[in-house]
Amino acid sequence: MTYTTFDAEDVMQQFEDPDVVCQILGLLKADIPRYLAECQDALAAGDHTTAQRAAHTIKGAASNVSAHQACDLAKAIEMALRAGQTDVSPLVPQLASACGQLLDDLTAWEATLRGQSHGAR
Amino acid sequence: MHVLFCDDDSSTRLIVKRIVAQRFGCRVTECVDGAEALQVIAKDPVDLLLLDIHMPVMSGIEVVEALRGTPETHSLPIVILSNVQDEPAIWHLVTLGVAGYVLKPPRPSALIPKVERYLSPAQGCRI
Repeated sequence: MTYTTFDAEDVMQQFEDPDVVCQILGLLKADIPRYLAECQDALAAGDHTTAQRAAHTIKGAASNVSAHQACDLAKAIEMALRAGQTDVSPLVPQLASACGQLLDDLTAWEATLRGQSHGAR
Repeated sequence: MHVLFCDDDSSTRLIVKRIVAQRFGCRVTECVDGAEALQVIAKDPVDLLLLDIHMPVMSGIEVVEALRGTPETHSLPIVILSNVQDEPAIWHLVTLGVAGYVLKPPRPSALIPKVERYLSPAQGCRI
């Protein structure tokens, strides 16, 4: 199956073992919503340092599965805040949407991998 | 051989720990921020530090500065893993004597060559 939000083929090539890939997907599914909420909460509180760091962490986590759109949007927020732009409000819903789609795809892929793994046993 | 990897993202820690432990068979300890890294090193000396730059509490740059200012860790090999491409920051790390710089996302093809010189069989690490 091909996913538009990340590169499943690249991830499998890098890590090979479906069980390890499922562990990575599980961590991403738990962490990305937490990092996103941290970024949104920090922006709402005017804490741009924390928001910038949270966006940076989203960028790194998303890059682990070659999730380019989420990665690029997180990078755009991080760079804007670093450059002193305090209004990143147009980018945040885009990042939230990209992360939501990514999490849906990661969930679907994890279910597929677990199904294949059980079928092989 | 004991490797410490410090990064605030858990998926990155899992990936790097797997790459290093599987390839070199070393003990790999994880921590989530710079302050914790200094605490781990003080209690349980490491042979190699793999270090992110942007972290809460204490950044990777501050960790390198602290280690270079301490006689026991002055020459500890440190490899930076980061997606920071900010030249002044990288040059500052070079002047502090970091052993290498690996761009994220961490991939075996980029990471292994940077760390294998510090984790060789001659140094007691099984491969």
